[in-house]
Amino acid sequence: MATVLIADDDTLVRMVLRMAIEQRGHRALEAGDTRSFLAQLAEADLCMMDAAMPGSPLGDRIAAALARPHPPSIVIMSGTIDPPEAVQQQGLRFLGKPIELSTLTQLLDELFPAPPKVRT
Amino acid sequence: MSDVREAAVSLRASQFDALYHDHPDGVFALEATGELLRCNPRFEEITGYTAAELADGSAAGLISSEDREDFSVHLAAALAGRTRRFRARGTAKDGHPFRVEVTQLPLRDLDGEVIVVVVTVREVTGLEEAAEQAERSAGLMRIAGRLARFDAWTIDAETRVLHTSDDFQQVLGFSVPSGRPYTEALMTYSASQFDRMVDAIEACIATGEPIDVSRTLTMPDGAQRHVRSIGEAVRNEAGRIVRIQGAFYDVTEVVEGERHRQTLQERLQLTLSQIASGVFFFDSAWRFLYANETGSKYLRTTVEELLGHTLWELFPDAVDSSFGEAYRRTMTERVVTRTREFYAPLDAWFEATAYPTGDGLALQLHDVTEDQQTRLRLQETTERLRSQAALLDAARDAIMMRDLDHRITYWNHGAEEMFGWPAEEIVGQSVRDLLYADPTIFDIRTAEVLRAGYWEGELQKLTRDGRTILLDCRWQLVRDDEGRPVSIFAVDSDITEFRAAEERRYRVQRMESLGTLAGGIAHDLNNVLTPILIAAQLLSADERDERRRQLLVSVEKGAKRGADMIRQVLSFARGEEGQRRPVDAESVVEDLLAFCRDTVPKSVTVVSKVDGPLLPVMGDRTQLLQVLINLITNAVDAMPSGGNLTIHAANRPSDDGDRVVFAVIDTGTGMDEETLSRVFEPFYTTKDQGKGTGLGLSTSVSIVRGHGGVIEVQSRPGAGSRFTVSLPSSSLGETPAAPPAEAPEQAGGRGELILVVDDEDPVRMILRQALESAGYRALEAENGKVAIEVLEGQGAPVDLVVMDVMMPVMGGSATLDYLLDRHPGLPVIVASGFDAENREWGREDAARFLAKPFSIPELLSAVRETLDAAERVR
Repeated sequence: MATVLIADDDTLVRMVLRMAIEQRGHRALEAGDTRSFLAQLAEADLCMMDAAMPGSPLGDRIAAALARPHPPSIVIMSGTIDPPEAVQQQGLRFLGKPIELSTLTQLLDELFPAPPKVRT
Repeated sequence: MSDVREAAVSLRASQFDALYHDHPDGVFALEATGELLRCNPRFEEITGYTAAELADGSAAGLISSEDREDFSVHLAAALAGRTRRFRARGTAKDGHPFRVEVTQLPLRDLDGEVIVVVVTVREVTGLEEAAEQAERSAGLMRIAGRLARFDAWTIDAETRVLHTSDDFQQVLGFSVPSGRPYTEALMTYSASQFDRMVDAIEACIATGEPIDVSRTLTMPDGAQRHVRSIGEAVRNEAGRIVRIQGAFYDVTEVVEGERHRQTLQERLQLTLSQIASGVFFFDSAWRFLYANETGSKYLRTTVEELLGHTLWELFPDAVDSSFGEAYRRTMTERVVTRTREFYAPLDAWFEATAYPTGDGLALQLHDVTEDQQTRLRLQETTERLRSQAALLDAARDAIMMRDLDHRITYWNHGAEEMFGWPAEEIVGQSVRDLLYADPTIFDIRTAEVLRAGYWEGELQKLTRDGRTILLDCRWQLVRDDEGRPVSIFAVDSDITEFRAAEERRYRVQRMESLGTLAGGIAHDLNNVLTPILIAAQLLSADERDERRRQLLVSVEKGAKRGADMIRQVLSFARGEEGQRRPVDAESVVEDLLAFCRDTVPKSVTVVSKVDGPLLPVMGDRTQLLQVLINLITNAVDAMPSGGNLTIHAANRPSDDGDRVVFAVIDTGTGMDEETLSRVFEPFYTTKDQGKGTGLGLSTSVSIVRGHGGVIEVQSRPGAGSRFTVSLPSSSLGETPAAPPAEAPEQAGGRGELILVVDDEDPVRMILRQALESAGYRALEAENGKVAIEVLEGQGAPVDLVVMDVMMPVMGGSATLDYLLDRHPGLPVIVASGFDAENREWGREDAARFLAKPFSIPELLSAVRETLDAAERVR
């Protein structure tokens, strides 16, 4: 079981992502703002970050995550058609919104190859 | 005076009032004593004295001294009971003399005693004066006698019997009874005319007063004749009147002639006095015979002062003036002359036209001082302008001057160029008629200049060849030294092009801001769609009820379609920067046909027509495909019940470089004018709600324009549409990408196995087809994870990996790391839309970078080169 931190200022987006993640047997944490994101960062195996969160630039949040002793995997989410530049430059994963459930599932399975039994 | 008597007097006074107060003649009553009892208001009016003044004797001067004695005799007779009638002269209180006929009527009591004399006084002033004209009348009579047509008559004073001349009916056209009392002859007269005639005849018989009566007769044939009757008394040697004699004569012609002459004269007088020119008539001795009021005003001399005097004595300065010369020419040579000169003595400019008339001349004079000054001033200003012609002609603006009647007085070279009118043709013409389709606005602006002195603004004007041009106008009112407006000076700049360019710029700006706005909204919409999509997918996975599952699927589909539209909006907003490389036009058509095979329904027949070999075009292949695919999609949508879709491509030589024209022609519903005019507008769509964003064509326009090309449309309702995209071909200096047909020679495969990794199905498919047709074998993987599975599980070794960087699941970066670690010798081509310089992730020595978007030939040569390089390393 992995811990996924969902950082997005959109409550509904966080909610459905949490449900999808939990359905794959992982633990989901939600952060609606930068403070909450930083507070929970230590626990995360994977950070799913919206590119445009009010309060802090994406680059700062990526840097904060990468600065952890055991940096979590990072996936950037955005409604824009092209990935933000930081994603390109740092070779980060990118999920274009709207996110397909199957894509998310594949991503989780790739990152955490030995998933716990799927809840039914 | 006894009371009884007093009462009697009072009674008589009131009776008098009752009887005579309103009597038309002056009436007064005298008591038997001779004292005044009463007089009526008419008597007071005639004499000017009040009753009281008459009673107390202050009216002593009333009866003239010569008649006073007669009057006393008459009064005595009346008091004695006799009725008397006589004439008398009197003087009214204000001194004016009058003549009256006096009738004294004595009234008696039962005893036969005269108690009151009622005296009636009738004015006869007119009659008496007429008597004095007897001599003149006699003259008239003599004139009458000389007239050819007259009917003579006599009336005996004693018997009143009328005798007429033998040929009496000459004038009247009918005879009158001769030898009978004259009253019988007057029976045809109307009552009033009868009285008038009888009065005249009786007066003539009684006093010798001549008869002179004119009347209008209606003849039996209905014609009106004017007949004058004159008569005079004939006396015997003792001076007594024995008869009167006279004549009727016809004065119709005289009367009518006179009336006609009078009417003409009045009319002429009126006309001449009213016209604005001065009019004079001179006789042969240069005497003023006539001058109208305007004329006398011009010459500052009254009509009376002019008449009878000669021109030269009144205006000696005119003798040697041009006027004098011209007048003398008219007088001697009998020709019309016209002179326009300043006449110093009167400090005025005159225009004089002299006409020969009879043996004199008629002169029409016009004060043109105002007009002349304006003309001179205008001339002066225009001259001043002309002196700067070189300067003004150098200006590109139209510079012109017009007088207050809008006639052009100056027209520079710029104006000639702008309007197409050469100066020599337009000078003197009215701009109002020539340059304005709608003169109303011109009138308003001109009024504005006259009012405010200046006007600046935009106006539409017409050129000689009928074009409407938009001008920025600056109009200045030109005044003379005394501040009077003389002309309007105008500088017009043609801003037609400028305004059109501005419009285009605004439109582009509008589209840009629309794009930005759309982009912002679209981004948020993707956030909105995320929970809908995932929730629907989460639920449908668990859902066992088929109906509910179907509903969730439709929610999912809806969200995906929304996402699709948002992608279009975003690509519109992203702008149209693309690459500029030679693109093989024929391969573009092939790609289009491949697209059609996959997407166009069977009811639509696709025909392609390529007039090859096509020149390569300069641009971004992906963008051009986007444009043309959009046109094909629209065409298919316009043919819901099937039809023909034609894709046509041909070279089109032109002066500014050769072009390649793509046409997409459908046989669909077509478009009306309104739709045609808006079809390229952003967010304009005729498709059902949810089917189109209204951005396809507007994005296409931007792309094509960005390529230096043109997109055009022709359509009619029911007759299908034809969209053409014309693009500049790549210039000679640049080598077009090798057409695919040549690729195998240079970059062909020898059956090497290539793994294509890309998350976009169509891209992967196209790459695979391209590689296979170039002689390679190919495998596909939609992401890095699948790629590794394929690689590890593949029996035959993969010779090369072509991989996209951006993949949602196990992206290029992670996959490359894995490959370099586990399969260090395996050549990898990494494709990315970002510049190679920007990447930090790649290890350049281990992989080849291919910038996106790339053409198939580019890919093939990259593949070949990479394989060859790897071969050499081994």
